[in-house]
Amino acid sequence: MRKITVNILICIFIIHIVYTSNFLIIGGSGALKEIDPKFGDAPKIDGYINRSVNEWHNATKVNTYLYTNLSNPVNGLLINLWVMQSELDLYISIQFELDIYPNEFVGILISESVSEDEDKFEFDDFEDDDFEDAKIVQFSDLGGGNEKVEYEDNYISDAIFKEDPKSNGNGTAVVDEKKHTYEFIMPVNNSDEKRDIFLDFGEGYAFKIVHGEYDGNSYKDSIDRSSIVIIYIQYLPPPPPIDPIELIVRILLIISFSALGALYGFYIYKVVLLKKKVERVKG
Amino acid sequence: MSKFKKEPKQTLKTKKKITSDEEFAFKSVFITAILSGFFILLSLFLNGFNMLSGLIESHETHMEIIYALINSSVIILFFFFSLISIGNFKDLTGKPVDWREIVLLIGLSLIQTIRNPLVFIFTLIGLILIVIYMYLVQEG
Repeated sequence: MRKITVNILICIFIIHIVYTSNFLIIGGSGALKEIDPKFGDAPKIDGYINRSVNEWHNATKVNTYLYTNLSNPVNGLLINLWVMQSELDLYISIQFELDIYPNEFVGILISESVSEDEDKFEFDDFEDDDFEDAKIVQFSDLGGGNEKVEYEDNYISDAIFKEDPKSNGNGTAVVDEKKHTYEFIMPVNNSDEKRDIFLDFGEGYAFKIVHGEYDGNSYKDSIDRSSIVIIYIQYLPPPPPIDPIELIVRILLIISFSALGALYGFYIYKVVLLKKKVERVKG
Repeated sequence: MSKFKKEPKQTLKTKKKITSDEEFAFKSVFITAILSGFFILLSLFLNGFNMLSGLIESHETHMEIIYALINSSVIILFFFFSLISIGNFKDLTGKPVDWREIVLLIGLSLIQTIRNPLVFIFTLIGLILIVIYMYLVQEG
């Protein structure tokens, strides 16, 4: 009897190990998070999450990790990644807790659209060269007297980050003690800039989130941690159907104002006629 | 002896006064008609703006009340100037303002409020007050 119990416990233990290791493989081996952003009211890009107006309420929220080495993704920095769309813009918020670096930056590097044939993406599927567009929020003298935060739109050519002459999108960040909140906005389906990745509806793109401290020379060499997620840009939701009562009211209003205009015109005509008549009688 | 009878000074004065009154009445008809036309356009703009943008249909109560007050004021002013203009016009033709014309004007004013019940209530109150005021003035 005791032997049976021990065997059952061993079986449960083995099942448990297999089950949990499955999660470890997903989290650790580089299977990428795939995000389908939801639509919602556009948040204000100011580095603050204003919960009183339900800012970012509709965002798709995932937790992921920034790793120092994507080939060996272990001991990552936990980040909250919020993604949402509003009209023709994609919004991304990245939040994490970390010590302050004076010249800290967080960047979002974007690849060309990913193949729809693949079921699952891994870190190894992407090379550095695949990312051609970079949206960066850069601090200078963070925590100091001359603290400044700037948004930079870069394009990547031969692994070199070059400033885009025409900046698209926006971003900012606020660091409160150890809590870092970065917010980005980038245009969807309406960028005319060749150096930007054109985010098209219905397509998936690899977004590489990078964090580091800028050394003043090269962003590529300044990256300390990174991660990659796949974001599928959603089509605009169809406009809500017009309420039939609202439609009737609109038509009535148009008819009313047309009639009002016609009556007004007729009245002015009658006044002019009367004036002419009076002048004729006087003459 | 003069061939023409001299008109008495009193009659000349009266004629001049009548001409001047007529001119004044015509001026008043035109000015008030232009003002009422301006308020029709303003009301059309406010209704169209509301319809297109939906901004006024925000969920902020104070914004809704401010919008309703502005819109109903515009409609009441339209009614007021239209009534004066029609009154003077009818006066020039020698007829009094008919109750049917007042009802028509009230109808034309209220039809501009169909999009917003709050505007309708404010306008209705305003119109009733103006009609009562006009009636009392006439009676007086």
